[in-house]
Amino acid sequence: MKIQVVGVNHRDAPVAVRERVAFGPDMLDKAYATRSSMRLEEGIVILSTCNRTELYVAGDVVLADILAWWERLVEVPRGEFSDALFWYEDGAAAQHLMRVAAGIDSMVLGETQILGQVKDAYEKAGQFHAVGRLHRLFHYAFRAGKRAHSETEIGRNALSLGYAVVELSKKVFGSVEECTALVVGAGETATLVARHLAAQRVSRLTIANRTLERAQTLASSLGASAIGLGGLAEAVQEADIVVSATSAPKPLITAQMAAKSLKGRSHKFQFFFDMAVPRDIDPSVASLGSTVFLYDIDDVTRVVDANLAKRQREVQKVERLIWEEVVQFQHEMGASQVGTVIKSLREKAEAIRQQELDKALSRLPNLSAEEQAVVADATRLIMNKFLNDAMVSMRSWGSDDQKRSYVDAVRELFRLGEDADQQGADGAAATGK
Amino acid sequence: MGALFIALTLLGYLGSAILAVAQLYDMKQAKWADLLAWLGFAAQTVWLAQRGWSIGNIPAATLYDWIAFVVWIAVGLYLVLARRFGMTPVAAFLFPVVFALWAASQAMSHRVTAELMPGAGPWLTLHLLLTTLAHVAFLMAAVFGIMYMEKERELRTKQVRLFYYQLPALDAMDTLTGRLIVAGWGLLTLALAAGALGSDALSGTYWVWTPKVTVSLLIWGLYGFLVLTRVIGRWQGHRVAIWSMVGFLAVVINLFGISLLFPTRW
Repeated sequence: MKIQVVGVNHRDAPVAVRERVAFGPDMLDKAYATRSSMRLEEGIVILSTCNRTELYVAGDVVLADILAWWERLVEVPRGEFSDALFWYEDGAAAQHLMRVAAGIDSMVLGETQILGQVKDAYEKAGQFHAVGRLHRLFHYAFRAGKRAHSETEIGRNALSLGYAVVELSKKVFGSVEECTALVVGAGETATLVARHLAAQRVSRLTIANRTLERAQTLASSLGASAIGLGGLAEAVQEADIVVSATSAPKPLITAQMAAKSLKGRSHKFQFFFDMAVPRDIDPSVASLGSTVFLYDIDDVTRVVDANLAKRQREVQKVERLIWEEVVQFQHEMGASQVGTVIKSLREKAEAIRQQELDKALSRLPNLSAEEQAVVADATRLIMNKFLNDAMVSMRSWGSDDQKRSYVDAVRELFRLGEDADQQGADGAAATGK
Repeated sequence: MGALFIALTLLGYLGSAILAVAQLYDMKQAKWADLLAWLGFAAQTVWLAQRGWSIGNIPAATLYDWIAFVVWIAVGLYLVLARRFGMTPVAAFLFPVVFALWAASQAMSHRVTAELMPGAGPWLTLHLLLTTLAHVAFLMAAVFGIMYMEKERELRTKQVRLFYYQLPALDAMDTLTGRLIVAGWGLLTLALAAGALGSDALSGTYWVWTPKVTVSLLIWGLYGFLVLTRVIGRWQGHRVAIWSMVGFLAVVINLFGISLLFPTRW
C-alpha cells in the first residue's frame, strides 16, 4: 500500500499562496464528499491550518489525480501553486507527519497546538469514514508527538516575550500563585504580559495606567484591579513582580521609588521587567540589592533566544525518536501486508484440505474414529510441511519495499482475494475507532 | 572484605558525582546516576553494618567512622527524598562533596573502636547521633547555598545557560538553606548539651577546653549568629547562601585541620 503526502506549508509557500489553496471548514465537508473522484484512493486525511494545507493519501493514487481534485475544490489552477508544493511518499510521508505532530515542522518550534490540530484533522476524516488505511499512520504520529513532548524538552521554555516574563518570575519565585503583580501600561505588550500573569493565577494583579479608563477596561477583563499613575509608588512597594510597558519619555519607576519599596517588604525578592523603549525603570534599580532583579526588553529577548537555541538542540532527540517510530511503522505495514497473504494462503489450503478429506472419508466408511483421525492428521501434516518454506520466506520479506512485488505475485499465483478480516479492519479504521 | 566495600562505595559515589553533573546536560543520565548512588549507598550500608556488628554499637566512635556516618545519612536522605520533591539536580552538587569528604577521610586511621570514653554512658551516643544529624543539615545547607549562588549568578548576569534551566527556583533554595541552618543549629545545641552531660558523667565537669571542643563551640556560635540574622535580621538569599558555605568550610576545617594539628580522642 502506498502512502503519500502532498501540500503547501510555511516553509516553501508564502501566505498569498497558502490562503488560496487552504481548506476552510465548509470546504472540508465538500472535499471528503467528493474524494471518490480520486481513483484507487484507500484513505485520506486533510490537515489544514493557517501554516499548512497537507493531504495524506493512502492507495495507488497518482499525484495528478490528487492535484486535479484539489484544484477543482479550491478553484485555483494547479500551475499557480505547484511551485510551492512538497510531495513525499511512504517512509518519508510518515516521517513528515510525525515531524508535524511533534511540532518540529512548525513556525514556532516545538509548539503543542499542532498535535491537537492533527488529531482534529484525523477525527474530521473519521466523520466521513475517510481515514481508511491511514489509521495506523496517524496512530503512530500521535504517539510520536506525545513522546516528543514527554521525552524531550522540545516544548519547554518560553518563546514569546509575554510568557518569558512569567517563566523568569518562576525561576525566582517558584510558583507565581502567591505573588502580587503590577503591570504598568495598557498597550499591546502590557496586555499580553498581563494576560499571561492572570492565566498563571497570580494572587493579585494590578494594572496601572496614565488613563485610568484604559486600565479599568483591561483589569475588568482579567479580574484585576486598576489604578492611575498617582498610586504607582504604593503599588510598586506591594508588588513582587513589576512589569512596565508604557510609551513614557522618562522613567516612571525611579531608583528612589524602588529603594523605598524594598524597606518594610515582607517578601524576599522583587523582579522588575522593563519592556518599554525608552525605558520606564531606572537601570540603577538593578544595583539596589541581591534580592532585586531588573530585566529590560533586550534581556528578556536574550532569554527567549537562549530558549529557542535550547529547543533547537532538542530537535536531534526528536528526530531520533521519530525515526524509531517510522521504522516500527514500516515494519508493521510490511508485516501486515505479508500477514494478510499468509493468512489467505493458509485459509485457502485449509479449505481445500478439509474438502478433499471429507470426500476421502466418505469413500472409506469402514474407518474407525481413530483411523479417521490418523488420516486427517496426515493431510494436515502434508499441508503444513508444504506451506512451511513459503511462510518462512514470506515472513522474511517483512517490510522490504523491494520485495513488495513478491507478495503481489503470491497473491496472483494462488488467486487470493482480499480477506474479510482486512476489510473489517478498514471499516473500523474508517469510523476512526 | 572491608576494602571491597570501601572501593565499591568510592566507585558508586564517584560515578554518581560524574553522571549527576552530566545529568544537568542530558537528563537521560539520571537513571545511571541514581543506580550508581544506590550501589555506593548499599556498599557503604554493608560496610557500616559490618563495623557496627564487630563493635556492637553505632559505628561513629572515631572521626573516620563518623564522617562515613554523616555521608551515609546525607546520601540516604537524598535517595529517599530528592525524587519525591523534584530535587534530583541536588545530586550534581551533593555527590562531589560527599565523595571528596569520604575519599579524604580514607587517609585517617581505620581502627575500630566501640566507645572512646568508657563511662560516659548513653549521653555520648546521643551526642554523636545529634552531632551527626546537625552536620548533615549543615552539609545540605551548604549544597543548597552553592546551588543558589550558581543560579543567581546566571540570573544576575543574564547569561542563562545550564543552572537557569535545571536548578529549582531561588526562593525554594533559599527557604531550604534557611530551614536546614535553623534545624542544624538546634540539633547541634542539643548535641552540645548531651556532650556536656556525658562529660559530667565521665569526669565530673561539664566542659573540657580542648582545641576541638573550642572550635566546635565557635562553629555553634557562627551558626547561632546565622540563625539570629535569618530569624530576626531577615537575612536572605545571597548573604545566607554565602554564610552557609562559610559555615560548612569551618566544619571541614574543624574535622580535618584541627584533628590533624591537635590529634586528640574525640
